[in-house]
Amino acid sequence: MIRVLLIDDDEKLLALLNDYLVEEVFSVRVESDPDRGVMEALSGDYAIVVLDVMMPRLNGIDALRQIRKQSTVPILMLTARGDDVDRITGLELGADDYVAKPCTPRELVARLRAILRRTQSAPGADAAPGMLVSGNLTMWPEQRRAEWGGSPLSLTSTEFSLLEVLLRHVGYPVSKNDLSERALGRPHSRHDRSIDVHLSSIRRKLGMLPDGRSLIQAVHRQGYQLLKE
Amino acid sequence: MGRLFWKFFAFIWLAQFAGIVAITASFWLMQSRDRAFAEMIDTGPGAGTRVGAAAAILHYGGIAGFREWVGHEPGPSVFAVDESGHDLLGRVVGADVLTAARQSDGGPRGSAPVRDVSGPGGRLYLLFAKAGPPGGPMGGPPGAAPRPRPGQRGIPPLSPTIATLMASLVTALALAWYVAKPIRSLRTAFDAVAGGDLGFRVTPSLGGRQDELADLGHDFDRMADRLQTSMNGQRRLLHDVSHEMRSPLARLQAATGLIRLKYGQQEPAIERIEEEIVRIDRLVGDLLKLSRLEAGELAGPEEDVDMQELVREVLDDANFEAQAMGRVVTWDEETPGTVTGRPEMLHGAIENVIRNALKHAAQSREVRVETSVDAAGTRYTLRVLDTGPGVSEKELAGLFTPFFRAAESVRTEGYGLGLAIARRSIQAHGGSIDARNRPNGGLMVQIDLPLRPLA
Repeated sequence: MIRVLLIDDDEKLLALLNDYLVEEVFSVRVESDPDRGVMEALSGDYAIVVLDVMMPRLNGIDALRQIRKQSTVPILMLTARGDDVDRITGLELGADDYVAKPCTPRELVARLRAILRRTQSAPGADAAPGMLVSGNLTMWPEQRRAEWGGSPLSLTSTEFSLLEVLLRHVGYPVSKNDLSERALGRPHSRHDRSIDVHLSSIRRKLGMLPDGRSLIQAVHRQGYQLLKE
Repeated sequence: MGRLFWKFFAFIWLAQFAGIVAITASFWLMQSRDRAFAEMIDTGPGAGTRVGAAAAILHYGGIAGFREWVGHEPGPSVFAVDESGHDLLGRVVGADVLTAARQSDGGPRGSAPVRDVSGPGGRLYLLFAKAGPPGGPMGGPPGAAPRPRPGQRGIPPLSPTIATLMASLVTALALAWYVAKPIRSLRTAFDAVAGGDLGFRVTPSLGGRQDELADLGHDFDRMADRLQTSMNGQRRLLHDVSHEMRSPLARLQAATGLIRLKYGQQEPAIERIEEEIVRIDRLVGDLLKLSRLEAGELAGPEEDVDMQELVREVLDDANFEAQAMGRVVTWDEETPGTVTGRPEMLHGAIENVIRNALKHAAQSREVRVETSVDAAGTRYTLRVLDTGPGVSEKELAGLFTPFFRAAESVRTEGYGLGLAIARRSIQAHGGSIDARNRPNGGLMVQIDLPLRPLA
């Protein structure tokens, strides 16, 4: 059973979602108090956290920041439609993806499964076993582990998936749509900045090339490319 | 300096100038009358004494004594004229001299150069000394009559005139500036508030000034305060309401999802509920977006936006929708251009305008898009033209306000937020948007955006 933690201040909504997710064979824990929610998220008992970033009392964004300080547990955030500011802030703080609230429970489940598919199972049929190496970057997709120049990289699960896709195509540009499909499990929508935000966080975590350039380059109209060293 | 300043300046200066001219002229006129008088009547220092002596002689010596005294007396002759204008000794007196003497007020008693004396037979005589011609045959002292100094005659001297002009110029400038300046700051403030900047205040620019104009400035600031408070309140309300509506909507959506999962998969009523939830959700999202835009909160970084590419994307999407309505969006001439901004906002703005045109172009099959760049290469212009019913002139301005719906317009789908969001988005990019009726029917919406300056 996949354990899901739902953090939202709307208890009635939590009850409904709980019923729905249980029907979909998830094991659910709901938490309407953000402080306790953060503690639960950090316990390591959950495969994924669904966090409402619009909570009024403790700002959901703050909760997100607190969780990310200590954990790379996958986080799906609920944002308000039309509220691009919260969404981009959340992605920059390391949320794996977002769903605009209100959303149909079906949409929520689809998004949960998309993120979990990347983290839970081994890569698909096209994946080669073992480790992937390019220059200073080494990744072990089966163990969800990555290193840069021998020291471990702390990546969120979406960041890991994105970097893995780029590394598998090292030296070639990968379109934003391909990146979105493979790492987020949804098609890229026009002007959606999610991919750009995630990639700029990865850039900050990786080192530079000897010539001072960033390892990940944006290729105009084509997407992103991991440079081959 | 504005026109008001120059008007004030011109009026004040003109008034001062006219005043100075009038005063100078009246002084000059009075002086010249005195001069004319002095030319005919001897008003010199000795004249009063001589006229006094003549009066005494006439009084006590009679006409004979007077004649004898006049015969022996050197200098300007003293005349004694009766009421009918004849001299006592039969000498000829010019009419102008006589008039001047009669008009004279006489001057101080005892030393007046012109005086009335009762002669023999109780008749009244006017006594005065006629001014002799300078250095004339009479041989009198030439200084007896005050002679006009050079320069006093004719126009007033030049240097005092210029000094007066300069002085009045400076005071007029100062006064005009003093009045026009606070009005200018008030105007700037009104402009700022009309443009949506409710944070602008006049008081700092007034200094310590205390008069009606300063009061006007303070009143303006109070008005702006009130406006700002109520606008902020409205904005917050809009924001809060849209947020608050989210929770029940989310519950509703979760509940319908649960019903679907547990009971009927294909129940049309459930589908209807879901559709309506999506519609309310979209409206709430638009409200939230608008309130964010009005509060000046913009998402994401700015980047160079290829307008040609962006417009093409919008048209691709729009045509997909238009086909379903049996319409088409055309764009004959693609114009390249780069705008610095947020592509999502620009995309949304142009899309909203085109969607609005498609919705209201009831009779027409075609919505036309025209793009151009001005000659200087500083502005990108996009026009969306439809052949629908248009909007009445007085309603044109309201087109971009939230929930606007033209009186004549047929009932259409939509919430009336699209154009309001478009306007805010375009304004956030330093551009402008406005609507005009086309001469042959239909509406034209024009978007102007500043192009990225060529480095």
